[in-house]
Amino acid sequence: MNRELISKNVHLTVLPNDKFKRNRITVAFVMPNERDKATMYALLPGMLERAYEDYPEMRLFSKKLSKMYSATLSVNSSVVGCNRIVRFTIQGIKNEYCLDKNEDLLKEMCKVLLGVIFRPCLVDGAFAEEWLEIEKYKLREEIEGEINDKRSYCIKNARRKFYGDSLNGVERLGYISEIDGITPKALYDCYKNMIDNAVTEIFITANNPDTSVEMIKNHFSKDRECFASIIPVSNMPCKESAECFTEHIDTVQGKVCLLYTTKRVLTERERYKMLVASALFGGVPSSRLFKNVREKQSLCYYCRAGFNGFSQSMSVDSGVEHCNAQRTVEAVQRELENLINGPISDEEINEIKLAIKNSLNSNYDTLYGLEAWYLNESLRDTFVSPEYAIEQVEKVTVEDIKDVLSLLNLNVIYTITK
Amino acid sequence: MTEIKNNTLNESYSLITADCGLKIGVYNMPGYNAVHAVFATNFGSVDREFSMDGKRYKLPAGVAHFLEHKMFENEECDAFERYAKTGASANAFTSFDKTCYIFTATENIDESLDILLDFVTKPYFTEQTVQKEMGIIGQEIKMYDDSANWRLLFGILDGLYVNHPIKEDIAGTVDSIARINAPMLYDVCKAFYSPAEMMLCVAGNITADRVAAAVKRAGFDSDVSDVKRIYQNEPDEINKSYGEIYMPVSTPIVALGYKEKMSDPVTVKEELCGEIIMNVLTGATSKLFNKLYDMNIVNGTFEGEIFSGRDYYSSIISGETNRPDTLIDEIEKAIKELKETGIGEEDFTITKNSIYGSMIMSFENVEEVATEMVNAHFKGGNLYTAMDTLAALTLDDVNSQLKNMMRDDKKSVFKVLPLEDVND
Repeated sequence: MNRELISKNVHLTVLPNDKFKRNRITVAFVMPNERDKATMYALLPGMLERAYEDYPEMRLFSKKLSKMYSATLSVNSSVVGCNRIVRFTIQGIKNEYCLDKNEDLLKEMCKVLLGVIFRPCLVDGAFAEEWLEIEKYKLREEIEGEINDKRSYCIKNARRKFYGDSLNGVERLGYISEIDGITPKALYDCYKNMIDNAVTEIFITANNPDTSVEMIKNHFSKDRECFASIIPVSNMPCKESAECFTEHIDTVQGKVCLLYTTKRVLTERERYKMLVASALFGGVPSSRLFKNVREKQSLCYYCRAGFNGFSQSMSVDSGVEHCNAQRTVEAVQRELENLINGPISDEEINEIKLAIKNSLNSNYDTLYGLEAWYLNESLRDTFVSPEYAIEQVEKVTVEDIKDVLSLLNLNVIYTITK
Repeated sequence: MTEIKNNTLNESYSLITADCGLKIGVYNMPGYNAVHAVFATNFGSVDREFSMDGKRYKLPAGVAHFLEHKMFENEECDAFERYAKTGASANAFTSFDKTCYIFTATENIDESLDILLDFVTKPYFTEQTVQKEMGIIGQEIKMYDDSANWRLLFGILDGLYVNHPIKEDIAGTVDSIARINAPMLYDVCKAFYSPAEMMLCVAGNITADRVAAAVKRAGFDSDVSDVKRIYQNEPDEINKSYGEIYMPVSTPIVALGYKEKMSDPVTVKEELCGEIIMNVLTGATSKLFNKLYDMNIVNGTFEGEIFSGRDYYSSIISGETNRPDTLIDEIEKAIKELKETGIGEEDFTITKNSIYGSMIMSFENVEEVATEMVNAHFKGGNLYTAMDTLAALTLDDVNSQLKNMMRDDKKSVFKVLPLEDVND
């Protein structure tokens, strides 16, 4: 692996790729997730993915990618803690698998990716109004459609109740009320500001990457301006007592989400302790929630805990019989209480550590997994390897687990029932 | 041991038939940390009737899936507890035509293979444990009842098929699983879980010798019953041309399906021709998708797929839309036009290249390689059959299949509509 600073706040990381059949290049722009820009960030992927100067129509561009042996170009807008990430990715088969052996597909992929990033289709210095209206319609539909998946809808609403209008709570898809007011010029200015100012992380996972490295370096010139910075992990003040919310929807199965946050920001060392603790609580099939709440008490079909280090929050979500919702909430709280105050065997911890080690080692086996690991590390400004994480996990003790779980505070219980 | 090679990838894998009759496929993938293993039986939700040693057995919907849940438990402990000691990430899934028990592990591979081969072949059921599982599976069924896309799939399949069990939910219903009992599960295990009926496929950083040694350690015997599957007689006609349900969704979801007549069993060539036709008709490069997208009639959920297996084949086009009837009209117009003009050389070549690229990509992931090995061998071919068939495919092959597909008299429509529209 080779990582270098190629311009102000622009890092290029080249990851080895001997075993995969594909090459992959990602350019990720990172900036604070400002509320007044959230809807525009959500509109950008649709506007940028569909075409660029060289292939100025959606169908033409799709045909170009199909000819490149089903290469995929994606623009993704996501939220990590208080930051927004707009990520441009292209991936396609390695040159040696092309039917024409003289084809340099990696070079072509790089050219297309840079074209999409830097040369979008414009009309009079702004995005095309016609396309923007189409993407506005799609975005409105997507926001309204979040209720279709009741599981994620329940978790999102629990988060909304706690984070409200804070920076941690800014919506990934933005806000319906703001869609109509966005003009082609305003969206273009938002895009331009991102390209010029965002902290940039570039990943090339390719064999023979020299040409693509050179092309990337030429496009991210040394005199690039960059005023943005990454907002460090923060947490919100906890609630004194958990607030309960119930929403009535005509579903066959009920949903419950318990949202915990830490009472203070965890240290780097505590992050690994929480990794083990949350897995033991409800992250794997040998966890307490799976073994006791699902298997022994048969209270629900699933009951899972996951810790998000960027927002310092843990959500426990469960699919339950409507009549079992309250009993499940009590059972989850009891399991957490038992972990903090009751016995935890060495055998139990060792099993959890083995499962985490297995998962961390598996990061090396997918292009996405490898890249996602190092992107997250760059956001934390730690940039450690999965091996380092495994070493830290090995050091976690029973007392460490009890200590970090004691830092959790239950803020919201959100229930969807008939 | 047979070595099956592919020149395009410059790779090969090993195929072994053990003394007990178990087929083993091993794809060595150097440089990978993980090993993915799939232990599969060619028994899925559509297998509802069979004879064994002359006796006939009829099963309620959901037995294959129920069995998948129950196999994890034996008299002393459950398989997850055993896997927890190796660190492997284990799971299982049931599809229409097979049941697969899987794990992914980066260490203690031999121990995890021993667990996999042991628990899947040592059933343990009591009436009490069967009763307990009904509650958990009942919850799973209810979870899927809330999924609009799941309901859409089984709604359109119910429109297309008269008798075929494909139209019934893989997990069955709360009523159908209530008829399952321990002796029934033992009978199914005897018929479909003997090593000779199963396949073990492993991909990753592992050798064939190591997998063969694990099978040897398992000490399987080679007892084989005389098992014959009994298929439902399915007419060529569809069941009904229209159906709809109302659910709490924001946007209507629509499926237009066609029941197709293909070979029995369906061939890889027929599946690939169908895939090309669906891509040209509804894919990202199609006139139809681009037009409907820009008219705000469809979004990214719009797709056309070939839904096929051993003895069923249908073309299904579906997606979210606020204008269901306009969408159906537009799709029908596009089908009519494509059937009149046929697919052109350029569209054929682009789509063929695109499918070739996707096939190459599928060989970089341990899970996909092991799973596809199972699929390919259960279909009677090998992992490279599809790639070889694609290379030999001509435009004439595709256009002659197109002529016989998507006939008006074999069409059904199913809609999932928002609850708010119930009184409209």
